[in-house]
Amino acid sequence: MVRLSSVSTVAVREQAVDWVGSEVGAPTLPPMSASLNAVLADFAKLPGGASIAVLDGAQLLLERMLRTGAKWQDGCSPNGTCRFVRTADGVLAVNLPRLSDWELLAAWLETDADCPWSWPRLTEAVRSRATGPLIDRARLLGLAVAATGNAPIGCARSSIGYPSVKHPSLVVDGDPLGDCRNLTPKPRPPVVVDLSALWAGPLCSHLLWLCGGRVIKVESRDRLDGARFGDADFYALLNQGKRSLALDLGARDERILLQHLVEQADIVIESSRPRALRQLGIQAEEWVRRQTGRTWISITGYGRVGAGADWIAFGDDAGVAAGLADLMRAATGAHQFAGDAIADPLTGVEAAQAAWRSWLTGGSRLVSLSLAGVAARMLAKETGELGSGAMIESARRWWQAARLGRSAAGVDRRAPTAPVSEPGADRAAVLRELSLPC
Amino acid sequence: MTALKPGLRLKSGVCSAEVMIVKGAGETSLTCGGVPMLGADESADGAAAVAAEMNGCLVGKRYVNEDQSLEVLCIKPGEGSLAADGAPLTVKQAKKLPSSD
Repeated sequence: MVRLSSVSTVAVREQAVDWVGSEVGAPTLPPMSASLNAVLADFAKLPGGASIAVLDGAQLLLERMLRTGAKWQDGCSPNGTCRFVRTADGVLAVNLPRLSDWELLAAWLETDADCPWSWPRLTEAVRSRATGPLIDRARLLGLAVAATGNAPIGCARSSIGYPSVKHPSLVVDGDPLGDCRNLTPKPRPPVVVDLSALWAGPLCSHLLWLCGGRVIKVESRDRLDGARFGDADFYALLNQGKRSLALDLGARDERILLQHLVEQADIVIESSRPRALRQLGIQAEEWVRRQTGRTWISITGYGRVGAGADWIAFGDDAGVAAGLADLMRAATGAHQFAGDAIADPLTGVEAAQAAWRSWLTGGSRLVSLSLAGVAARMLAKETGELGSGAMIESARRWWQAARLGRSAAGVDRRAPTAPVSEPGADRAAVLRELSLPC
Repeated sequence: MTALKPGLRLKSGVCSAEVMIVKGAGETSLTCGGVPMLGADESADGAAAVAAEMNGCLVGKRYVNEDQSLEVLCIKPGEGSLAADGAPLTVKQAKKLPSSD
């Protein structure tokens, strides 16, 4: 007994020393947390944005890991679905989070064998092939694959405003979201219809909920938000307080109901490829044009226009496409993931801030944010502000801490405070409130 | 008849559709709009589409035959509908979203 208690005392003391060390020593903040803090600070200054002031960049970046207890591993994303594989002429990040992704590997790599795929077999099959054709074929198949060694990806955020009586056409570059000085709070909160899933979009609507937005989460009944089947605590954190509708999108009257719902929104958030909503009879561009004051937040992997509109991405591979793995390579000597699905929390915060500013400044905008573009722009900004030497050194120290399980030293874990709706639980109430037929 | 294997790209002879074979091997007659689909370097022989087989195929959808031994992914949309050995292919159920990304 004596022995046991003395051991546990030592363990606690060691922990205490580590804690103090990370507090008083040079901070080991995760990459991009400074940029994210700057976005949060701008957001918190907006009318109605006060509840954002308590949030912290590192906290939002590492929020999922803090709950799942995932570990940092060499060359593998914390959730285990994305890895670096060497090709004949480079290094690719391959993200295979869905079972159906594994079914596409034979087509991607043009092999007919039926034997089951594994990471070692995939690594072997990719090794002798050139990066370019591998990327092209992966994109055709809808696989989330990104090359390392990228130049940062062009314009991260474009906003297309439509001419109207009240709002002139907006410029795509520069600051497209209007003058934020002397803004006054709106007399009512926005109605937010969130059609998105997973992390970036739900984080965006979560932050709008924190600001008082009335969020209606809409899912396909047969294809619910996959995050519902992930870590329950994390799902609750991002989706608390939202009302839930689950629609049978195979049925015509339910698709019409979806169109009516979207018509009632001040802000729509979605994270699908543009063609998916078009197939459901919803056109973002027309929706924005039809009535002034509305804001459409489009979250994509690589943007809404051009070839990239058809490419898919998840947070880890998008971070690689943005150049974050190259930063980690400079810092650690090998490609590493710079966060947990890092482009997701970056984009979610950026999208929420853009949505709130657009709402305050009169709306009539389609704001297009791509995971890869947002991550690339934030990386460029942070590198510009800190200098690349300091950036690399900071990433090196953080990775050291991360490998010791201290990637989030001193970061507070948020807890949900409002209830989470079961799929479709609020259908009757929402339809009644919006005067839509039940 | 074309020897199918995963990764093979075929184009329609009657519309803009293109598919990639995801699963399936061996000699199969894959048609779009009732007309055999073509390899990358083949050109259409002018065969007319069968009107009843012009119900379209959607990009990004996976199509399967009845016993799911054949699966193709539509990589470019078109007006023709897909069939294998005379039997129409149907849309495979939507991919489940991952639980984390």
